[in-house]
Amino acid sequence: MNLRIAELHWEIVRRLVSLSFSSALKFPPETGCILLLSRNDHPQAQTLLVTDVLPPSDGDFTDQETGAITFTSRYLRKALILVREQGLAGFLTVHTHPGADRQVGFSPYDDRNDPSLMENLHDLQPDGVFGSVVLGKDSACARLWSADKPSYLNELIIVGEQLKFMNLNGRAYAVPPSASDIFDRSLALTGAGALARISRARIGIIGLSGTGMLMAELLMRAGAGELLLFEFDPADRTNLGRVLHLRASDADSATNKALRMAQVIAESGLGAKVTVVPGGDIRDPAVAAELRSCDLLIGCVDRDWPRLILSEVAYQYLIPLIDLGTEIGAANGQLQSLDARVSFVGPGRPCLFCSRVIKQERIRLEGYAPEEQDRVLAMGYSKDIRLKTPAVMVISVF
Amino acid sequence: MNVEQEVLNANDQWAEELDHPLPEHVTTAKDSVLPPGLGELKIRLGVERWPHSQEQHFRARLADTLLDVMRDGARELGEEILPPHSDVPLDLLRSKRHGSHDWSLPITELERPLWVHLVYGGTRHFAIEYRLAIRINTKWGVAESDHMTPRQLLTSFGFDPNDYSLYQGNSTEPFPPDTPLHLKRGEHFEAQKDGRYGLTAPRGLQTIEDDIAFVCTAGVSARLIAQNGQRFVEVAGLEIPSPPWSGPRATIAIAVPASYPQGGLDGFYLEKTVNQGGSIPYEQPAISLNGRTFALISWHYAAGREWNPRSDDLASHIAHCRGYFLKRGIR
Repeated sequence: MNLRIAELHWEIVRRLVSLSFSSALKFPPETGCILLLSRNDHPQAQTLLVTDVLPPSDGDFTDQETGAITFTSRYLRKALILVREQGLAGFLTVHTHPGADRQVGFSPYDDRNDPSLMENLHDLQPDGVFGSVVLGKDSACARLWSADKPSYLNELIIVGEQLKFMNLNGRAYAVPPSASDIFDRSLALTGAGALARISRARIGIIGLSGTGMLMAELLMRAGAGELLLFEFDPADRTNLGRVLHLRASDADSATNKALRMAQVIAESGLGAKVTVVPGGDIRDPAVAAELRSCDLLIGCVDRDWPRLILSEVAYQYLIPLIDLGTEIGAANGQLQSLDARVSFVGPGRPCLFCSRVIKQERIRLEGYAPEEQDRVLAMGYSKDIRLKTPAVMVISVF
Repeated sequence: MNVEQEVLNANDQWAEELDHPLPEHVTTAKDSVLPPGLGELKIRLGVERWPHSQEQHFRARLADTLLDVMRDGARELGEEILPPHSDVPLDLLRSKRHGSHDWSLPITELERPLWVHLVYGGTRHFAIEYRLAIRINTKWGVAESDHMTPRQLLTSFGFDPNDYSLYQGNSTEPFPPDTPLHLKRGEHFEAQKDGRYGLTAPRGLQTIEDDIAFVCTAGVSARLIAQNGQRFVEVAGLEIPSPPWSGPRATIAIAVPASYPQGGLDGFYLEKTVNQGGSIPYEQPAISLNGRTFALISWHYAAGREWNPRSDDLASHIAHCRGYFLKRGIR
């Protein structure tokens, strides 16, 4: 199981424990904090999510010295009550081993004390998720406890301006992993490790029209490990001028565009696994639930309501969203504008509301049935949301 | 009318009158089973709070267990037994002795059917002894008094008050450990443990095993031995100056009090394999440890520099002992 944390929370953690790794101190003390957790329980992506960092107040630690730290019952209690009040999954204690640098592990003393603490916490909150993390300067080790047995977490994923990864087995990653040699020539652009990450990632593409098909094509050729395709619209003849890989026969047979792309990916032999999500409409909660299984979301939809859903998933489950939008403005048969937009949405970054990409009014209108939409539009207060503007492949390629 | 119904009708009077003698077909059931259908017969019972209150009446089936009777009786009295839904209640059930106002000892076999209780001489007058049952975490227990300190409560429930603090409900403020609480029946407390982490145990909280493990990692040959209930740390191969000592290494044994580390270490025993010109300075009476002879050495901490559990440990005490061989006191 992995642990995801927003970069801003990770920065708080690093600041709270910085004293332990200060070179100015001859005997730096152990430090710590508590991470409050929620859970992504999608069967294919079971992940713990840090919802907040509970910093220690004065008196929350006792026996704080170079080789030891005690979390007072009062500090642990504050975390437990927050878990109860906010319906959270549980929490992790975090402490440091000041001498540890690129390698860290739980000490025999930690091993002896953790089981009784965790048993106590499970006694108080039987369905809770409780565990501990020990930090070195550039390393971390994390484990959960159940029935007196620890299970170690795999990887810490820090989600912010970039995705950063940290091994949770106590050893810092030695060298970035390398990708398959097919994709070597992209290294100069992506840097070491990025392509290998993509090759292991499950990437959701939502909307398989002009932009979505292109993104699927590009990700396939970048060596993506698995693509999860969400699309509910069947192909029609208006798509043929701008949607990659669509054939006239697909339009005639009203083939689902995601199924067509899956066929292309399978035929490419480039190794990407592809899954077409049944139904494909993320406004259906059961379909939207599949978004949680992704490591990265690529939004290629042309409506505000699904964009809102994607945005919420990105913040709630700490899954970065790259939202793409293209628009040709036209009026009275005259071209007015050509716009292409890429928004990176995730913790610490403005949401699509804040950046005015999506609007409340449009989301409301999109939620109405067609007749109600007509009635509201007839009142003249709202702008028509139905697509009538032109669309061409060129702007999607932008 | 079938036989079963006849039996039931014949028992009408007995079923209603609490002190009516047992019908013959019930008493003869002693070593076998009740006649068919009689188990379903509901008879009137009395219940009160032990040791005395107004008796209330309710009905129970002859086949009901005494635990069922106790639960129904408690409901009649308006106060459920504790713990809720437990097969082993902390409250006690008693029955009145025949022709007396005395109560029996608490009934322990609550799984026994009511009719067996009656056949074996029990009456239909019951009393429930409600006890001061409280819960800490998931454990239920009976408080010894209604004024107990959190420390006493934790201890009586098996929680070490050095590790746990007592809280109420969703409070984040622990009760002061030594201020008595006024306990009420059915109250629920939570015992929350401290979380101890570290490369080593905090000084003052470590065990002698911790300290032995630590000195061993530093290259000292130390092990724990026990004799007649007393534990000693045997430190072998301790380097000593020779001369003046007759050999370059010594083995010492340090007595460890059960109260370690708060009860500190003091003095040591020296295996009599080395000496200084035939004698051993500060030598006291010898003892035998594992078949070897050790002399007690009167080598103590100086006044004003007593053992400090927050800073001293086995390693510092071994250093103190080495001072004996080097003819210096503790610094």
